[in-house]
Amino acid sequence: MTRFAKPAPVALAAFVALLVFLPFYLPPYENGQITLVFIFAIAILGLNLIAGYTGQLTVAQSFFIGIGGYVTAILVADAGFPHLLAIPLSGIVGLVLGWLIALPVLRLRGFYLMVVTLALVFLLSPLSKRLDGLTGGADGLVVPAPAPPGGLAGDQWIYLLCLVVGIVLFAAAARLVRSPYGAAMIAIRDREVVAAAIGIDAARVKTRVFAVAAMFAGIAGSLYAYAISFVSPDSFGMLLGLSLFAGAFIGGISTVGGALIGATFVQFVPQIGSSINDSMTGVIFGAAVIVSMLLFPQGIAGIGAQLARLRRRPAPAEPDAGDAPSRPTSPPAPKETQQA
Amino acid sequence: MLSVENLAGGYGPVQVLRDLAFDVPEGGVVAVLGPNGSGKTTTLRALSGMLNRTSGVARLGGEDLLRRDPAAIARLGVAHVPEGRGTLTELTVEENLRVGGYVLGRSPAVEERIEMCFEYFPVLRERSRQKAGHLSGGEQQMLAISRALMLDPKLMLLDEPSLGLAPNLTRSVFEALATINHERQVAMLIVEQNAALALELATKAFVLESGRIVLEGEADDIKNDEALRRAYLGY
Amino acid sequence: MSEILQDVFGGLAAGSIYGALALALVFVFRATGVVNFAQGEMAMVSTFFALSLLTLDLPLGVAIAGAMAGAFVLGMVVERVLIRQVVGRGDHTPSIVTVGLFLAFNGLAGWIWSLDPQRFPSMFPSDSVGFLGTRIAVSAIGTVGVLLLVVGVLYVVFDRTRFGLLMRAAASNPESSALAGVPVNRMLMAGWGLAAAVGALAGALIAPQVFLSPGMMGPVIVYALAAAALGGLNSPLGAVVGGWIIGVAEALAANHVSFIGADLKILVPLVVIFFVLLFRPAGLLGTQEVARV
Repeated sequence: MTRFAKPAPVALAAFVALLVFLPFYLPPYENGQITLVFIFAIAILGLNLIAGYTGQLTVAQSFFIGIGGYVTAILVADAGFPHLLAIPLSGIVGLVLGWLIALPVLRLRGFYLMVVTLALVFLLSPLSKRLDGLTGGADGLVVPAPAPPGGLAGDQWIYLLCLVVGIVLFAAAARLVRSPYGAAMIAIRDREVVAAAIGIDAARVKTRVFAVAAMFAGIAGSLYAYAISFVSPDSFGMLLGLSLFAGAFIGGISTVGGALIGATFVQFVPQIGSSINDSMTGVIFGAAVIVSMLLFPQGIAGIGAQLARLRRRPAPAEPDAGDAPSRPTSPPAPKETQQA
Repeated sequence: MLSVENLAGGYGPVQVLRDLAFDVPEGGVVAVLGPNGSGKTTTLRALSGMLNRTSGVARLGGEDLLRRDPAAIARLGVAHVPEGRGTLTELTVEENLRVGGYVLGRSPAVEERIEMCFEYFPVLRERSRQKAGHLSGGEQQMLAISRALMLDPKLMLLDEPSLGLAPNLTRSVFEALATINHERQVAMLIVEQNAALALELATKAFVLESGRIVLEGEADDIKNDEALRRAYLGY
Repeated sequence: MSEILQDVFGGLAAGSIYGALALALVFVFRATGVVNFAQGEMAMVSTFFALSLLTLDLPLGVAIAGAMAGAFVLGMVVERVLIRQVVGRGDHTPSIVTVGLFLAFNGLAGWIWSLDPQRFPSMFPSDSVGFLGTRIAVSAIGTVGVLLLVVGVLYVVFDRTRFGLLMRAAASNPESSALAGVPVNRMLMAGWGLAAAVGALAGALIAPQVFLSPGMMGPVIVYALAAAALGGLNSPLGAVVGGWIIGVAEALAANHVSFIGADLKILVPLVVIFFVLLFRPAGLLGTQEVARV
């Protein structure tokens, strides 16, 4: 398993300091862009935990972002909750819902999770239109912005809010993946049967990590509602769900830092794409994730490690001679039945 | 007819075979012995085109085997019976044999050879319409050998034919192999854990350890030398 | 009663389309062990191709046949160029690539053709026939009939031709087949091609009802995946039966369960999947999976 170097503490601190001071120098529009990058990074970070470290593929982050966004919108707009409180509450709703959904699914093959999450991606829009009493239906809900303290501008306040939440969650995630629990996650990803043999309750770990990922997405959704000041059924659909998925892999799915790279893609590719053609976003994301999987499966964050490994390798393999099936890269091992 | 020199190879960055050299004479039987992980299976895979990375020379009657794909090697008359038998479990016994005879194309030879396999292994005729996955271990081994026979091989590579079989079944299988070898002049390279059985059938043998040949000679000589057997084969 | 009968027939028709796409999924999975999440988008693109052929004034039958041929080529190219490169690694990469293909084909369709829904002609006349006191659309009967025809053709190809035997061999044990000289990689390519062609037919069957647009097959792949799962992912018969079950359940739920109605129909495959997970994880007709450790 590749070990990714921790960024040097000084470089990291400098980077964070830069991010803290940036909103005071940039105009509101650019601040808003970067805010969204933070928001997507949080959602993708959750995805990295469940898909990258625990090996369970899911496209449902957009669904839970939507849940979080709507929960916040309803709490704040309809019920007058304090803004800051709605953020963790949205996270908790995501956590519980994610856990309930994962519970029956994650005992089994990963394929089922993909199907269920794909269904969820297509479910959110009609569901929010249907529950229009609560959600404002097709018109959506306007979300009043949180009041900025002191002399801060609205956009700066939201930017900093997202940055702080992001730092907290990134630090928590980094601690998690380096802990024994993180080792269990990775064991499940790489060799689930063996992990079970050494006493790891794979189903439980997978369910919990999925719930955590959903919580991250719920929090991201809440912040999204503040950043855009608006939630609607079509804000959280297929394109977002699959773009987050693609962005996560392009950035580096088994990393913490890759989430930020992926989020940058998710925020800026649609802008580049739609300037060419309305449909280009999908083409660019699709092509990018395919190329990434073919050439650098560890993503951009993993390029350094991948290059280092390539340099250490001996003579390359013989070219594929046409009709031979994919040759194994490890010696044959005895087959074993897998529990369904 | 099979002559191997400086054969080396492995999987990706792992080197398994180091500088092997041996021959299999026409119609001869050579046993490949040695402990687990010594490279016995890998040797066969190198000869049947299943190994990613090889170097050296392996010639079958003048034709180089090492830089060809499995299909071309099958057409040259090399039949590999893989470890675990490689049964096409979803297909019937007869279909398994038909697939084995793929290189013969659509010629009537296919039907003739299927009949020949049934002669050697009558139980296959009884079960010809059953799904191959339902056969017992011994029957699947007979099916695997038959599948190899279908392509009219000059050389058969057999990987652990006795694996998982009861002793009486193992005897029948090896007797059948002896018959096939005598009647059809098919040369054989047999990888075996059961050294005693292999040495009965073989004319020559060599022992692999960590990808190198550490002992070679006439099968009879090795079989009758108790000290050698104890040292290299553990019995 | 007559309403239920109409729902059942409508559901069987829709279910036949889900079953056709599920068949494609099952073939690809059996041949290469990959779940092609982009199967629906490939079908959608092929249907757009049929639309282009129609603008050349070709008859519908020719256009659809052309689309199926084009889909065959597309499937082969995808397997050869992309899937084959990533299959041996033993991880989820192939699935991720197919999700990338989903995005790419979805975008390409909007870019090359149009985002606006397009009319697509039906293979069947728009009449209905009387049956047991109610009227059943000819197109519903026809759709089921087409699916049965496809199943019949596939059965003949796989079980009674040499080509089919070799494809089954390559899927059952690629290594043994290769050792016997079978061109395994070409068989796998053909498997993807065949699956894509069947998918194209599914697209042509659904387009007249829902209008052809890039988003046309999005939810359909979920139905097809659920149908394939009902069949255990490796049973073609299970995929077809699963499709019918889901189609009928969807039609009945849409018309008789007020919460679901016409717009929350996607809950139906979700519920079906949960049921399968609880009671029969290997599917109704599937077999246990064997894995290397």
